[in-house]
Amino acid sequence: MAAIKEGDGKSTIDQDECVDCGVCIRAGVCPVDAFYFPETPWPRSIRAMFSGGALSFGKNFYDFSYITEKATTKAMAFKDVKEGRIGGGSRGTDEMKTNDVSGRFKDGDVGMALEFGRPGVGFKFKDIEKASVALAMAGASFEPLNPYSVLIEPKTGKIKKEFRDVLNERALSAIIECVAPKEKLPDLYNAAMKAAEEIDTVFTMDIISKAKGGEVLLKPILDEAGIKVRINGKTNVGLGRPLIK
Amino acid sequence: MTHSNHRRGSRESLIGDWVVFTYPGKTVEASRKILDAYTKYNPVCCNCSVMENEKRTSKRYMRGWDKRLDSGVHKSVTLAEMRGLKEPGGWITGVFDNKESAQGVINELGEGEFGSCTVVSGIFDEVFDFLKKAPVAYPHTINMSAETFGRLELLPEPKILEIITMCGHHFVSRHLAKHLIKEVKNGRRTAKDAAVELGKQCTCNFFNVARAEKLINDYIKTEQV
Repeated sequence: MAAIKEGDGKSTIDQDECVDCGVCIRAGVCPVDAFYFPETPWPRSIRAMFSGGALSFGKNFYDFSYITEKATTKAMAFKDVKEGRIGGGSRGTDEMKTNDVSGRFKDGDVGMALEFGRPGVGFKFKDIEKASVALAMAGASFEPLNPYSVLIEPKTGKIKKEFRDVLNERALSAIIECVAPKEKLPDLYNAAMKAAEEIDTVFTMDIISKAKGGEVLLKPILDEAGIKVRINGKTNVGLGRPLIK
Repeated sequence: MTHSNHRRGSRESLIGDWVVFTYPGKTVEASRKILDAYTKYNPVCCNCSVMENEKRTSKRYMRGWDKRLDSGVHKSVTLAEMRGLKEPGGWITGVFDNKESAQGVINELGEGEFGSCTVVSGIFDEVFDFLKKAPVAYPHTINMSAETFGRLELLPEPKILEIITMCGHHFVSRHLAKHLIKEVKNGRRTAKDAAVELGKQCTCNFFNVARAEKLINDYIKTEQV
């Protein structure tokens, strides 16, 4: 983020740029322990929640009361970080990692995720909203267990009225996770491309497909739509039990 | 959490970059056997958690990271200490620098029939190829990386991206990477130590320090530092 600025023989943190990820505190490299987290009330606290910088808020990954209650991030010095678990909470979900037992993505589905601010750029919520609105219009259904989904209206992709004070907040990353019938893949892709032209950051796209008999079920649609994917990615190897084929 | 979906690089470079991720065993005994499978194949990195003082604590092994390089909350364990963990819990993960090791782990997990969801990150055709010979395992669902869009001019140069995308949560800063490369160039630290310093920031322990060391040395040879 380049939030740490040097000059006049001292270093300062640009609070506008800082996303409260906590990397500097965790590193423990400051000889005088000068790094600390100031107490951050809502809406600033959304930064740490989406940047991995907060001490665990929820009781489990899918407890989003820290968002719905607009929690304040407590002040933390290095000793607090050592004693607590920092980086708790997640930007995403189990997605396809558990699909062999959850059956979340079916043969006729496409899963799509837009990882906002990644790699390493950061983003503002007003930018990610443009993409979720575009995907909703293209027929996406948002994953309810994702923390960004908690902020938006599921039908429109618009950030809810009660959370609109986060629009100008920055964070390290947030992930839009959605699913649609596989025929809608070109529509989702085109919607994402349109949003890409309107944002002041970057996102990286994931496309999730079932495989059968060693073949990727979405490959014909990807080929026809001219959507390029990298040579590497993640493969769920079907070892979970009970198995949903 | 798309922890390892967008690692960048050429086929030649990615052939040395494999991440295996398994959900917790259904019993402590199963988790121990899963961990045994991971540690048997000489991982570059390995991660699992244990309960300590009623708190879940990550145990992180990373090749080349010893106590001398510990800092802040980042504490290393040896591979022997990792093997000796009596009650491993949470996700168990490993990074490997060759396909055969990733394949070996998957084969052992299949033979053990532990029933825990497992994901391999790597070059798809290589994964699909070795899964043809694997007991039980097969490609069930895949997650593909369809590139990055938007204001691409905000991204660092491609060779730095190859290093920093090995932390999917992007806790490895481009600025730290460039600073450490400069230190290596000026003889202030070795490429191996610089790779570990970068890897420490990746708290999930997915950062392939063996590949990073190569990428740092390559950067110094080919780029203006």
